[in-house]
Amino acid sequence: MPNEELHIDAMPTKAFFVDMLVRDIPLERAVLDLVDNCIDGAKRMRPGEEPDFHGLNVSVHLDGDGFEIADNCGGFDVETARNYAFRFGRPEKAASTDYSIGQFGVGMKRALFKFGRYFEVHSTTTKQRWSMHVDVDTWERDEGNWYFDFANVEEGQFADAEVGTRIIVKRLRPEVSRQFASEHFKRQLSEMIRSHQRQFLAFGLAIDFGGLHLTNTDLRIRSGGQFNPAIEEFAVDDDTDAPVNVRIVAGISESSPTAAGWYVICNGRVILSADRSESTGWNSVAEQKDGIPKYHNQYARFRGAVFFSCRDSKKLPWNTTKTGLDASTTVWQLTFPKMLDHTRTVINFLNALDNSIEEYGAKASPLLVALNKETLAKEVEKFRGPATFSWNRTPQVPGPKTIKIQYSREETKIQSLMTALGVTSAKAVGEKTFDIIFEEQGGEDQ
Amino acid sequence: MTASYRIIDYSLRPAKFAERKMLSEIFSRLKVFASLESYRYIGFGSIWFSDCILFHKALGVEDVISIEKEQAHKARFEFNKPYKGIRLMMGSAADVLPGLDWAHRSIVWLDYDDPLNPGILDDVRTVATRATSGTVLAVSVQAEGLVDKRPHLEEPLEITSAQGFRDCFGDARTPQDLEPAGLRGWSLSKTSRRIIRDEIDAGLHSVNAGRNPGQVLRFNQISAFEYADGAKMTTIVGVFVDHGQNGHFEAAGFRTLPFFRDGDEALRVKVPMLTPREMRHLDRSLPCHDSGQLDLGPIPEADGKHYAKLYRYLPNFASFEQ
Repeated sequence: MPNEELHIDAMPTKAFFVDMLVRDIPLERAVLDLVDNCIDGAKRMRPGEEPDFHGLNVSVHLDGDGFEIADNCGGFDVETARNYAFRFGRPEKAASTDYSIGQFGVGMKRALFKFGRYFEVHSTTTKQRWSMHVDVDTWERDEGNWYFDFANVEEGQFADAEVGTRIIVKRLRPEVSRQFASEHFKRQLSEMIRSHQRQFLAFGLAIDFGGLHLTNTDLRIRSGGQFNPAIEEFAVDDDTDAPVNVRIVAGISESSPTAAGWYVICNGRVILSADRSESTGWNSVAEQKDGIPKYHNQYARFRGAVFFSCRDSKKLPWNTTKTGLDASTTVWQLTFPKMLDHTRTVINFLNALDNSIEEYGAKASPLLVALNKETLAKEVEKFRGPATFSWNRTPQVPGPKTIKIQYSREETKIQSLMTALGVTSAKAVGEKTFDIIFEEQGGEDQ
Repeated sequence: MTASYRIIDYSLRPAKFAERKMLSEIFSRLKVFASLESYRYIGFGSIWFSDCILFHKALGVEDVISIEKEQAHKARFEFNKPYKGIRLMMGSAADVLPGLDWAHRSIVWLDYDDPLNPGILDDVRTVATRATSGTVLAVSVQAEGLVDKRPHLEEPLEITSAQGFRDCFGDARTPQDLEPAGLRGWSLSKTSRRIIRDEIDAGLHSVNAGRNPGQVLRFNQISAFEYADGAKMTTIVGVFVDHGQNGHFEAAGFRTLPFFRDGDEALRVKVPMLTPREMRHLDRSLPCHDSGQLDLGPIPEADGKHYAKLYRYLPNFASFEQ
C-alpha cells in the first residue's frame, strides 16, 4: 500500500523546470530554432528534396522590448499544438516532417521561455484559427497544473493570406532584453540566419530580419575552361525508403581567409561553415601533407561543400539539436574519407598555384592568369556530378620554363658585389652573377 | 627532377620482370570474384606500359588506365601507348584516383619509384577507403632510404631515426616500436610494407564503421616481394574481401602459391647468375618440388635453387643467345 511517508515528491517545480530547460541554449540558437519551425512549415506545404519556396516568407523582429516572428508557412492546427508543439518532448507517434530541420518537440517552448515571461502564439490554417496567451509568472505559480489554455479556437474557411503563425514574446528577461537591443547582436544574428538557412533562401524563401531582406550567402566555386571542381555523389542506405543522398563538391574560389574551408549542409541547413578544423579533416590532411602544419592562408581559395539530404532527418550526421556535426554517425564515417581525398587534391593544386605565383609573381603567374581568364564563379548548389577535379596543367608560359634559385651568402660580400656590378639589390647580384658565369661557360651554345 | 623513365629501361630489370609475372599469376586467380575481363587495371604505365601490356595479354583485362603525372611529355606517352584500350589519365595519383568509379572491381598497382612518403600513404588510403570487395591492391616503393622532402626544409633530409620519421609522417603513422634499425638495409623494406598495411587497415577501419557486418572489408595480404635490380624495391599485394566473400578468397587458392606471404616476411627475388646452357640443363629436371633432387651439375647450389624457384617467372634470356 502506498504510504505518504515512504514517498518523496520528486516532481520538479515549474520554475526549476523552466530554468533547466533554457539554461543550455544560446540565445542566437533559440531564435534559429523558431526560424527552423517556420521552414519546416514551408516544407510541409511544399514537400520535396528541392522545393520551390517562392511566395513564402518569415519575418523576425526584435528589440529591447519584445520579440516577434511571423510566417505564412501553413500554420499548425489545434491538434498539433495540443499533442506536439506544446508538449515537452516529442511523443513517439508524432508525425514527422520529411527533410525536417526543426526541433518541434522542444525548440519552440524552449525559445519562448528563454526570451521572456509572457508570450502569445497565433496560428491559422486553412480550416482553423486559434491563439494562446501565456503569462509565465502566473503559470509557474500554479504548481501541479501543466496545461496551457487556448484563448480561442475558431473553425472555418480561411483565406491563404491569413494562413500562418505569429509568435510574440514580451516582458523579456533583462539579459535577453539587453542583447536584443544591441545592434552588434542583431548583426551577428542576421548573419547566422543568413548562413544557416542559405539553401532555403536559394529555394526562394524570403526572410525579413528587422525590416531587412536577407539574401543567401555567397558560396561559389570557380569553373570553366580546363578548371572543374571535384564532384562526388553517392547514397547511403539506398536499399531503404529513406536513403541519405550525399553530394560533395570541392574546388577553388576567391582567396578569402574567412570563407575558405568546408561547409556541411544537412537538409538545407548549414551546420558547419568555412570549417578548417579537425572535424572536416583539415588539420589531419595538412599534417600529413609535407610541411603544412595546419590551415594556411595559401589555402584561402579552398571551398568544399557536403550536402546531405534525407527524408528521415534522424539519419543525418547532426547532433540531436540539429545544430552541429555528429562525427560518430555512419553517414559521416562513410563521407569523411572521401572529403579527405578531395581536400588533398585541391591542396595539391593550391600548392602548385602558390609555387607559380612565387616564381612568376601574382601578375605573371601563368596558372593564376589561366584561372582568372578561364573560370567564372558559380553557386555551389548548381554543380552536379560526378566529376574529377581538373585544372589547366599547361597554362601558357611567357618564355621558357624558369626555376627559382635561392641561397645565402655573407652580407658584406653581397654588398661589395652590388658595388662592383653596379646593381642595387641582392636579387640583382644573384641574377647578374648567374648571367656572367653562364656566358663565360659558353652561353646558349653549350 | 628527372622522371624515372628517362633513366631506367624497365625491360632490363629482371627481378622486376619476375615480380610482374608473379603478380600476374596472383591476379589470374581473381576470377573467383568476377571474370577477369570485367576487371579494370589501374597502374602507372610510364612510357613502357610493361604492366598494361602484360595484364592485357595475360589476363584479358580490357579496361586499362595508366596514370601519368609528367604532363609536359604527354605526347610521348600517347605515342608509346601500345593499345587503343589503354586510357592515359594525366595527373598525379592523388588527382586521378578519387575520381574513378570504385564500384568497379579493379586491379590496382601503385608502382612508385620513390621511397615511402606521406603522399604515397594518402594514395593508399584513397584506394582502401573506396575499394570494393574483390579489388586487389599492390603497392611498390623504393626501399633504399627514406627522405624527408617537406618544402620548408632547405634540402631533403635522410630519415634515420624514429623522430625523423615522426616529423615527416606525423604521429598517427609512426609505429610505436620504430627503431633506427628498421630504417636501413633490407629492414626498411619490411618497415615500408608494414606501414603501408597499417595505412590500408586504418582506411578500412574508418569506412567499416559505417558498414553492415556482411559488408565489412578486410585486406587479405597475398604476397610481398623485395629485390634489388639496382635500388632496393619492395612490393606488398593483397585483396579487399568483404565478410560475405571470404569463401571466394579461400577458394582462389592463393595460399598454395609458392610466393604466398601473409606476414611480415617477403619473397626475396634474386635472379641467379647462370649461362643459357646452365639454365637449359636445370630446366630438364624442373619442376622439382624437392630441391635436393635437382640435378645441379657444376652449377652453384644457391643459384640453382633460386632458379628452380623462379624459372617460370624469369625473362627468357636464352632466346637472345641462340
